[in-house]
Amino acid sequence: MLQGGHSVALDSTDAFEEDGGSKAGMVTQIPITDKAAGLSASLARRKYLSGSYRMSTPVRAMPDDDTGHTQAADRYDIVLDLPPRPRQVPSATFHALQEWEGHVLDVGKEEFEARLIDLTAGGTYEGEEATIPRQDVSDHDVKKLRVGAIFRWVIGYERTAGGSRRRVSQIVFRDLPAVTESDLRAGQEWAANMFKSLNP
Amino acid sequence: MGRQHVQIAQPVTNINNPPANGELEITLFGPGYGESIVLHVGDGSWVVVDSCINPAGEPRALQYLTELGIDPARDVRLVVATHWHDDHIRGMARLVTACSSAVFCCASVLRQQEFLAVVGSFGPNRVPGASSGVRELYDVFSRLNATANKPTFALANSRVFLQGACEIWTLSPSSVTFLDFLQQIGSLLPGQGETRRRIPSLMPNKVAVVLWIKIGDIAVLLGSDMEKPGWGDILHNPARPTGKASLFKIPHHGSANADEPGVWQDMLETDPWSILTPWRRGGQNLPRRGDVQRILSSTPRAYSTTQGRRLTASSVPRDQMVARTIRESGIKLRSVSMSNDAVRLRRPFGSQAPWRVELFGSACALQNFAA
Repeated sequence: MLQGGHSVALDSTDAFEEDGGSKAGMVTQIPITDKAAGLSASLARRKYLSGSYRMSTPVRAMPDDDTGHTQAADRYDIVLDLPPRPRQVPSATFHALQEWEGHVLDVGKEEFEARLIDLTAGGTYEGEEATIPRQDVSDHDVKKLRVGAIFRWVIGYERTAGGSRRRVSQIVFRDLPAVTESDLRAGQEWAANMFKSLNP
Repeated sequence: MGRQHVQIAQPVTNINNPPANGELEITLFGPGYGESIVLHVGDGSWVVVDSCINPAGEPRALQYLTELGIDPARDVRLVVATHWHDDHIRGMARLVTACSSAVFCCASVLRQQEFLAVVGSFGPNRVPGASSGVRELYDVFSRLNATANKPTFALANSRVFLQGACEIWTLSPSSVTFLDFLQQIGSLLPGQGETRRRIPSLMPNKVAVVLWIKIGDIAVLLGSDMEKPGWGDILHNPARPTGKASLFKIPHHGSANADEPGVWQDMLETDPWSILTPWRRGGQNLPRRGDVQRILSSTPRAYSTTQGRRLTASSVPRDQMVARTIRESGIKLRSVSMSNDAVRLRRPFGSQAPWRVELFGSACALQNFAA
């Protein structure tokens, strides 16, 4: 029986072709926090794995009387039928050297103006300003480009699994939470209270 | 005094000597983006108009007062926010908190439901990272409310301060601009489902508070960022205080759309001492070369808190690889100056002596602005 607060061992019956991924028969430990095995399996299916797996309870090690070797006991198997796992790609690392948070001041046809806070230097006020070509913004983000929009600009280098290094400058517009009805209500309540206070 | 004989002040270095009790002082801070004015109005009483921050992110006015040995909590009597644009209000909440016995004054229009609704909407839903004028005002109003400190509100021709021989009048906003503003401000209210963003400024600036300061025979006109439509209302208002000012804080960083010839003719002495703060935003600079020439044709006694060249300098040292990437990216990066540059003018009360001008940091005579 699966128990809450334990780990569960997953034996993959799939073989992965790429380096860096799980190999056939490899045992991975993932935390289980739910008492119900079904929910754990569901979490495993959604969050951690794909493919077909035999899922077992924690292995309790017992010595063999004849050989002295340790073998597993009390093993309960659950077979999960998961969708195919995507191919593993060699992992790349990104090292940020400089990071700003900016807000848009003006939007022109070819470029836009922005004020920047130097996050790398621990800045709290906009200490720099930039004129940025629109082409530096991805097609996906360009629709977010408007006065007051907030973005991150990161400069750093990316090291591929093959070891090569390249410099990267990337501007990403932030998807800040939308204004909600309760936000507006809170603002209106504040305004109403303040109006009473300032206009006795 | 003929124009050929005007003395141009030279830079000095000691900013920390306080004025005499009987001396009027106007110190203008303007690092390149931001403006704040500190006034000594006699007998150890101080007034602060607007707020900008120093390189450490602290209100510049507070730093200055502390360096002079002044206790802001005891000695500052009035704090004025002339308007809510970022460059005039950064650090205002901390200033108001520190000047705990001072009366806070802002335009009357800012206490209207329409404006408070905008402040309330952007206040609690703060956009991370980006500072803004409404965010600062949210903190100011919340602070005043918590301490039961009642502000005073500026309208055209209302006296907001009286102490001894010193009177401070607000000459704006007029009732006409008041209504225009309320109609415009509603457009800034965020809608439900709208992505949060930083609130933009409303232009032109019609509801800035213009101040008239009178101590005995000395009058000072502080023009804030008032633009032309607002100046017309002030000039044509028969109820405004009479007299002519010998010192003028030039409005809106010397821009042409804030220059009203009638002000020079009707409200200022000939060749008044004039001071301004430069401004840069979105690649635009004020004052422009034509602005400098126009101002100098009105008075040779004009000073800027910083030189023009300071506004284009980039001063942040960076990793070589970062610098190279910025260069190659085509992105043009500039520094938003937050220096300690200032112009200070002092003059004894009841004296015909001229204003004594001191320049700090890269402050300069306007004729040397682009040097």
